[in-house]
Amino acid sequence: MKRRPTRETNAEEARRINDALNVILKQQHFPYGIRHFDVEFGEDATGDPAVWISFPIEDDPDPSTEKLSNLNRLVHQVQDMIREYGVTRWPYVRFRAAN
Amino acid sequence: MGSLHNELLAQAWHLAKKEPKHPLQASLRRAVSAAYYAVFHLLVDAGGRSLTDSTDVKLRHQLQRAYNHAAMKTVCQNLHTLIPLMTQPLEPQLRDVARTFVDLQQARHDADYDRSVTFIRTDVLQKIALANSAFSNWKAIHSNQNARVFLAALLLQRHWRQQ
Repeated sequence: MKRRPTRETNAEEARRINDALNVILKQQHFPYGIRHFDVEFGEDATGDPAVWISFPIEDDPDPSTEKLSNLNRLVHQVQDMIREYGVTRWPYVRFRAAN
Repeated sequence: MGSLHNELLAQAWHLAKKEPKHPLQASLRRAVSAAYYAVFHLLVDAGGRSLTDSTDVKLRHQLQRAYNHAAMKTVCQNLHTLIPLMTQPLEPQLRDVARTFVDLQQARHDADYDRSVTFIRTDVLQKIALANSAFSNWKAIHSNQNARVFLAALLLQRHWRQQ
């Protein structure tokens, strides 16, 4: 099942999300070689407005507990910052293959 | 017999690491699904126990069947609507459990239905680690008043809204 795209992508929300993520990026809080992100708008499985933030990352066959904790911290930081910038869509964060 | 939620969490770790070098998409996707259902059953189990006597196993199981995934997500996304019933400040662990439930529910949906996504092990293990943290956070607050309100809302808030 492919995700249903939102009929209108809110340009203002897109700008806020980019601003929020660039704040974190400039603070050099993106760990493990993460240098950029992709943003996709849509509706989630229950039809609520959502945004997906994808971080390309080198896959690690056996990440340490510390690394997983750091990635979780990044996810929460991104979600908190996006909300701080007034975006009401639910931000889903995922890690995808870098190449 | 172990609890279902603990078994599901263990299964998620097992599936995610099952093929050491080249993980199968099927294993990674089932691992994400198991992680979500681990948190789902953790909360459903706690909800059933909070509303029944320990000897009322049949009633508890019947109550647990009434939990609805979408309704639970709505509660988790709108914790602020429960503030009149809760004591302040809201425990950060409770916020974390709620956030994890929403994140994992969507991840499970992607894992089960979205063939356009290719899962990588790092992403899957990160999501299982989220579930793991939700277990720890729930353990820290499960006997608090706000946790009881949360459990009641997970089952009943959709009916409260109709009033």
